Amino acid sequence: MRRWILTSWKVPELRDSSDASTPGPGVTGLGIDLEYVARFAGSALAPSTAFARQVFSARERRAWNGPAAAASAFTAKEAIAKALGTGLCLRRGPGVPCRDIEVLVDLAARNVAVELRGAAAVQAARLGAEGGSAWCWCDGRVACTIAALFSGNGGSASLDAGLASVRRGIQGDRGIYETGLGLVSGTVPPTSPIRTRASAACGISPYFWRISA
Amino acid sequence: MERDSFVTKLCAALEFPAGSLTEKSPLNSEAWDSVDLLNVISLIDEDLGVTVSGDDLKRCRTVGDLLTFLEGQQAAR
Repeated sequence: MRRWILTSWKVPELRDSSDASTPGPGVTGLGIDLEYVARFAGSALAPSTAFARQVFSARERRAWNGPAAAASAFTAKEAIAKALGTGLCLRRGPGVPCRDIEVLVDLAARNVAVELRGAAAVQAARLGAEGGSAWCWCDGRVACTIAALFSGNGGSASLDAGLASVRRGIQGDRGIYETGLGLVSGTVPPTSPIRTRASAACGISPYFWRISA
Repeated sequence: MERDSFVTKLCAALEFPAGSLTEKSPLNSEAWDSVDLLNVISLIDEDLGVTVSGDDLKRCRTVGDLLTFLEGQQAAR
């Protein structure tokens, strides 16, 4: 199986249609991650492995419903950890422990729920983040998540503006898929389904989550 | 630690063909992505009871270096 390797922790810059040089107001962190679903279907990352037990919480493992959901949940953890500016670790840093970012993915219900705790919640508070969003896509072959953290400055108006900015970035002609692919080494197959939003069979609606430290 | 047994498990975790890793094989962990890193760290944690970081792994040049490092960590407990 061919692998893509992230070559940088740099997060994509979301382009506001009215100002291409700055992210939307109140956005304190952005992160993106992509994984092949097939990788999570193999024996190396199966639910019975140390990887599954150590990276996913008991609640996440109970919600484990196949490799697509597992790949989506992992990309969400990773994207949020990048938005936090830390990356992931198991227990010893650098990074926030994987299980401090709990992600419950329900592909059938098109829903993803996120809860930050421990070091992840502390880091979010340190950044001044009050809430965030995670957008997950999975077409059965590739899973992708974009995560954004929003500051509390301005309260809900700022959060709404941040969300609107991110949505514009995703929906723009130079959408977030291509921005995300810029972080990936190697050549993207011309027929890659993640280039075409319309072919995504099981995208998940944006889910807004609030952080409670 | 049973060195051969751990190398076999490492090989499986990294999805390499069985028997393709030896103690002389370069670990090449700089080329691993986060899934590889977390997979190997999880394996070490559960199999050997040793908690390591990604930076610890990156300091090991070969599989043999990793085994020696892990034996040292076990002895220090």
